[in-house]
Amino acid sequence: MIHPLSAILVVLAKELLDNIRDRRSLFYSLIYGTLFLPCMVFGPMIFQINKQTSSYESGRDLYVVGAQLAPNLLNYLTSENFNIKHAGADYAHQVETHAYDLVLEISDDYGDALLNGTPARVTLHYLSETSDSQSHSRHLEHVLHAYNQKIAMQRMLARGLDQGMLMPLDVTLSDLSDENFGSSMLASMLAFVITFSCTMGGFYLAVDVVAGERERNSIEPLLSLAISRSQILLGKFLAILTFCTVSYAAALLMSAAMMAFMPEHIFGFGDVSNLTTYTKLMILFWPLCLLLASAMLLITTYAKSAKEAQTLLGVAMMVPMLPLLVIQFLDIEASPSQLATPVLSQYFLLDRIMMDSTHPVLAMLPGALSTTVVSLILLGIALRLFGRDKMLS
Amino acid sequence: MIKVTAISRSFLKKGRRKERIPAVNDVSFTAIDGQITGLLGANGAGKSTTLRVIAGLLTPDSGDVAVDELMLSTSGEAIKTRLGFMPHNPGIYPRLTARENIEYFARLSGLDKALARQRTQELIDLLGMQAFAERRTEGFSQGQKTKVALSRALVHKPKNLILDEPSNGLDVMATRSLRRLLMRLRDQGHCILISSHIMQEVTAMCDKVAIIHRGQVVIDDTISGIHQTTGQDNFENAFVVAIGESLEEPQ
Repeated sequence: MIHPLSAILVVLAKELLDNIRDRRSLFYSLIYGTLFLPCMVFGPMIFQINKQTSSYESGRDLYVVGAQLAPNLLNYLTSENFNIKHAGADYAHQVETHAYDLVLEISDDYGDALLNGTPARVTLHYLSETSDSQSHSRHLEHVLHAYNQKIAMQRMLARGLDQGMLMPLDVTLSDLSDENFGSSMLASMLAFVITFSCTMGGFYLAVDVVAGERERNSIEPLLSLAISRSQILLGKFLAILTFCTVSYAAALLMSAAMMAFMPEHIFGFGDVSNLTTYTKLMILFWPLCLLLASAMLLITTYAKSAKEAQTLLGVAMMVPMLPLLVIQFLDIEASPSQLATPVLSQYFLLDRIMMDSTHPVLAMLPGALSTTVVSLILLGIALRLFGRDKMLS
Repeated sequence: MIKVTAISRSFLKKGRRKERIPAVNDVSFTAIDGQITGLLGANGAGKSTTLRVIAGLLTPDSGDVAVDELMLSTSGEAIKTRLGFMPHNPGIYPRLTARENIEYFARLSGLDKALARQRTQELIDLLGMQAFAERRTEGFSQGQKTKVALSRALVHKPKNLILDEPSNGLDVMATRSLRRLLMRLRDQGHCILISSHIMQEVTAMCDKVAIIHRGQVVIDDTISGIHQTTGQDNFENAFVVAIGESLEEPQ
């Protein structure tokens, strides 16, 4: 008779080979969840943020009509990272044809108006239909507003008036929270990506290894062999766990690679593209992976057909996402008992580790233990179900 | 040798009322070494349930099975090493090749890698599977599937072979080839137990037949013994008489 461990490994090797040859399964486990999902979730956000921020930092071209009329204003704009360029007479056409994002037109009487203390007119020509032109114009509007205030202050000072008279309130913002909205949002998105990828990784394999075997009647000769049913099921469980692990690890690495393109100051934290952060997240989420693999095994063992398993798994895969929604909507603070609750614990700690990569590894222990215990209970129930005579179709 | 002693097995009926339906009731017969024993019965008579109990797939409500000197109730796992079981449906893995299907069962039966490979090759040669051994089994004909399933049942050289309707879906030539193989195994001293509902197959191959009807063995004898007991020259008529039906065609 075969050694129990060898039997488990032989079943594991067969299930892995079988699943790797199933193109649909391979696509969902190794491509959809791991590559496409992080790209779809983080890609557009990173693209937009970079687009908005990089242009402000590296300077944006500003086409000006009548630049010679306002040298001081242009010096101020240059100091604010605008590259001043002279616009031609057909500037309106250039804006309409998207050649220019924005044109600043300085009126002919600009100098006289400033001297006389009357409003000097400047016109911003832009296209509200394009986001680039609109954001560029909004930025320029802010800069001009600041210049406006600066001139007003100088005038008050020249007339011997205290500038404080025009500012009765001195508003100062002091944020005392230990987390920020940006990091929480990113943490939620990452939690979704990891959980979803992990589930997708084992989904089709789970359907196939027990419910699928029952459906195509291959379970009968398999169970007639001189190995225990628990060895067979453990081999199948390890195959699901392997695919779940590979999927969530790859999704995490892909997300980490994408975070490297995220401007750090936007969210006000510096650990988002840190290797320690992702190593800790890898450890943090493995018990959840164990839980998902055993839950999927239980469902496929319970189901009478592959179709039923697929339907049940489709509904069940939403369950691990629920705590994420609860945290988001109810704005729950993590208590010690919640940090020891399976799934909730992983989501709370993900947020903390992303904020601070030095967050102690030991903090993961209660959640990891409780999640492992629940996984073992589910695995035990699956083993019990697999031992029933009903397993034969 | 396989000795079945008074096995009974019922199943829970679907529905609100927890009624049990008996599938086999007090079934006893013996299949001895060097013989092909047939378990003959109509569809739903209890043939597959009986074979599943012997193969250790179903636990009997009562009764026991002895395989060689081992009892199913006390040595279930050990008995399985002495049995080769081919179910009614071949149940082979479509994404594995024929060779991989056989090797998988060989490894799970306790053969090391080298021996599993060697034994698989022997069976490929024996059953003439060279042409499709390296192909994935998806799309195989019924005959090809049966050959792969039979190889899996034989791969660990079991002394006792249980085949549930082995010629199911096979064409004439494949059936003849299977029959020759089983007779060769019988001559080598194997104990072979097959189930069937095809009279021609049973008379052509079996040394001994147990006729099962509504979950009970109604007769267990040699072919000539059955003819004698029922007083019928034609085996089909003998079967009809044995299960207590009228020989007259219904109007």
